Amino acid sequence: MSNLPCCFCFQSVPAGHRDFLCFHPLHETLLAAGTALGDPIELGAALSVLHNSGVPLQLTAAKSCMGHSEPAAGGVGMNRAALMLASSVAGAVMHLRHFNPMLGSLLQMNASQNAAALHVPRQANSRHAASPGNKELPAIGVSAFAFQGTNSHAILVCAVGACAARCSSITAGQQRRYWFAAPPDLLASRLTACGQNVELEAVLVQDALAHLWDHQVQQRPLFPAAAMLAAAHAAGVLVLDGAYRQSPELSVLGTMLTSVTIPVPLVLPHPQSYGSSSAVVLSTVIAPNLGWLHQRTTMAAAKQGDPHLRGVLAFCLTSQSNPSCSVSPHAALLWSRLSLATEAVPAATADIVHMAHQQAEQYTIHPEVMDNVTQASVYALWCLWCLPLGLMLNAWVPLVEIRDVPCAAWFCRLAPRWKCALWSFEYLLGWKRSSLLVPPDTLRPPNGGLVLHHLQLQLHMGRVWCAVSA
Amino acid sequence: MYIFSSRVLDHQSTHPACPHAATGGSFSVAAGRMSFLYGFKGPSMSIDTACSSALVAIHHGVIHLHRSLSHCALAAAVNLVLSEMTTAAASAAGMLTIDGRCKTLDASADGYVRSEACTATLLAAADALHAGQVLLRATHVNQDGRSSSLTAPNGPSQQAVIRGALQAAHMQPTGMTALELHGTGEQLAMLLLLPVCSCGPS
Repeated sequence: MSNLPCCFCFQSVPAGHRDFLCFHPLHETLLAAGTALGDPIELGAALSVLHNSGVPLQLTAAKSCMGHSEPAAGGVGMNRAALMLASSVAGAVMHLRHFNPMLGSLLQMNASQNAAALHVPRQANSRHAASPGNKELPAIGVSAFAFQGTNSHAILVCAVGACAARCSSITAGQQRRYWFAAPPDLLASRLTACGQNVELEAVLVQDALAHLWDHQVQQRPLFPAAAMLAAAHAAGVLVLDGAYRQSPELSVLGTMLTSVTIPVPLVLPHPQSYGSSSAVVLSTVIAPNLGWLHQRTTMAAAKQGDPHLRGVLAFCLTSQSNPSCSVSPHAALLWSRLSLATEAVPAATADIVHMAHQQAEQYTIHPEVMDNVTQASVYALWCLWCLPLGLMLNAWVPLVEIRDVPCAAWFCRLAPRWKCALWSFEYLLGWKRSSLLVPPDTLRPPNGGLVLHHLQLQLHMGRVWCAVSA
Repeated sequence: MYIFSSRVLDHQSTHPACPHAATGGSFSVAAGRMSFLYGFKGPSMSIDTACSSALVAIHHGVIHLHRSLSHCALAAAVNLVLSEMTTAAASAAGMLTIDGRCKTLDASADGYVRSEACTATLLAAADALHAGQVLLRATHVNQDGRSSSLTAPNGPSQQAVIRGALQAAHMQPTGMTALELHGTGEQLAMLLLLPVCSCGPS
């Protein structure tokens, strides 16, 4: 058999070596690690042909939204591309959190040739290829490759200035999830304990969290309220896990955030400055003996502002050893550093546990709802008034399973009253429905979960109050 | 008229004596039935090249239009998940992700999720590009040929098909502004396994 090219780096593979991977330590490692290789092969082939000329090459993938419809996949991709051209909206690549490390080398290689070589939208946006800076016709290539070897490619072009109305079908089937179930490493890059308080810091300016910059309201990146909740909760889990590792007979059944208030939304610096000099650090400060929790940010070029999120951390205990609540190694390590600072934790938990049982049946709200309410209030702030605007969401937030279970487990179904409340809110503010960046239809999470009894939004003294009650 | 339809169900094997098995279960009848339903009298055929079927069907429609044999061509593609057999086989081959999401470009990509879709594209010759219209500028099809293995993706062939489409479109490589990826987020490991899996689906 003649020498065959490595399917990744296209070098010739000596006969007798791996079937189609060249004998390269990197490839060996990555193959052994089970890293997905199909996407790097495709992107590597495409980038070796396509050279961008100043305008970043946008990557989209219908499959990330709609799955793989096998023989119909090429048609789906082409029709989606046609819709993107006609509406000048770039569809998103969903479920993208950490770039495939093998793609990372490709992206860097390409970036060295041109600063802004690729753009991977993680949220449907209007930064489409039909930008004014591009003198040529916007063109989208559509690829479909079959596993038996037949490859096909189609090129679509569109007349410049043919921006039709925004096409909602591009975002069809597209989940919206801008927050993150943050791995502990992201949340606790630095841990400080001052007095009785524990402070965990998350550096937001990093590649793994770049998708947060796609969460924009009025062209300004807004840190999702749901991400605040997720970060706060994960930090709480770290602390509490460590605390109850001290008592083997007890384990934390679950943790919750209550009485959550977001007085000041967190506006991130502009994406153009992302990665340069602006370090954004989100600090979660927990008073373990009281359960109080708040978050604040420090930015390189800004003073430390008001707390962005305030809340009370509550948790339920069980005397049975619960395997699902086992302490993660990372948390154990954390606790070994924390134990001296937070000796008072187990003594003061009785009240919090009692409160948890008392309120558990009352209020539930989904993080996505909170995020949308924050967006709505910020939208109102920026569009309608220049008044100080705050948001208080008095809600019971069920984030119990955030650390163990994928997000699907903590979706909760919302009662139609929520939509009614939002519509009345819009009516109150004189909005049209279309003016909302996130349409109310998308606020309803998928099946399962708990029911929101009532959501109340009030406009009072120039502040929007949002409260949940039974 | 050109039509692609997905492989129809394997119900022939379970209902061998059914009188409709010949027409209802045959792959080629799908295109013929569409022509019958709408009264199309041009050429009509079913094309099966697995995951690239829809674009290959569109490619054939474009060729037909270029030869000025027709005024317009219809390329349709459908995938319906009506039988558990294909899913079971794909799962056994390790092609499917466990969390039901195609995580394209992501580090945690571990396979794809099967989905249902039906698309129909009407291709018509255009004299001039009007505002708001989308022009299918070029299509191209090739094959991996004698590559490293039957099922492994082949980078050079993928390069060649994009180059071929660019040539057919008389475009420079810099002219492309966006790329809709195939992007199944599959593991190559499963592609290694497939040659030994006789029941692997397309």
